[in-house]
Amino acid sequence: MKKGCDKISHLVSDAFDRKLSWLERIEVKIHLSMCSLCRSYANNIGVMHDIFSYIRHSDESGSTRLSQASKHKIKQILKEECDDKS
Amino acid sequence: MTEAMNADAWLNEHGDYLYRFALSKVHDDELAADMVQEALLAAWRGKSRFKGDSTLRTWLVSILKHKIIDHIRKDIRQRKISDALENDPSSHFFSESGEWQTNPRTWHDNPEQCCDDLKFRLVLKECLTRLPEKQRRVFELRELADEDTDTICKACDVTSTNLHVLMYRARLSLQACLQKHWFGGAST
Repeated sequence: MKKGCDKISHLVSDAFDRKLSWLERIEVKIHLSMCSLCRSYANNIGVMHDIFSYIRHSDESGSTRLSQASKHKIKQILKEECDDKS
Repeated sequence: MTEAMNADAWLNEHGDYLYRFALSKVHDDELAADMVQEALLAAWRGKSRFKGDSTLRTWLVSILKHKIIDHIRKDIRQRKISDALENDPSSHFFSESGEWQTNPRTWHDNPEQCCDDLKFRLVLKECLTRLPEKQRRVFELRELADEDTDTICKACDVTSTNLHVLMYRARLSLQACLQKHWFGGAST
């Protein structure tokens, strides 16, 4: 166990959302080289990130379709809109 | 070809794709269908603005995206969802001197295999719903909708520093929740 895991775990998370400064990267690197718990955490949030990007891609390329009822409703609304204009 | 037939063609050719796109962002069948409807209607009304320098589908998706972000922003404002920043959960996770309270254990599982397991998907969903709402919104926009920082900050009315804090807390909670209910060995 090491002190400062709270700070390092925050930086490890930030690295997914912003570019860390040079100093921050060194700090993380040194801490991780000495702390197996933070290494595990860093690995795990990496796995989580991969899981979500896999879900994102499988959702968008899946075969889910609009229900017939929704399609019908949208058709009606578009038709009314077109009729209004003409 | 009449105008009505054109609007129908948009729906027939792109409706399902737009629906999947919306569904992957809002996780609610009915809301996703409503978003598609609003986007198509807005697109139809603004069709003169379609310049043809992108494909029709790309143009429709960009309108849909705006509608979704807009919806989330209004929802957060209307319901005054403002949890999280004051109540700091990191004391659950760390001692006063900043040491882990519950030790993370390295997960060796393959992400794709996890996702294909319906039981895992249920556990994941449950862990997500346990997050405070604003945290969950920000996290989902980031990780599931792949939105950039600016868009999320505008939609959820947070600064970029707040966004990083919310993402950090969400990751800590999800990591702990998934470890406890899935990766720790007990697959119940």
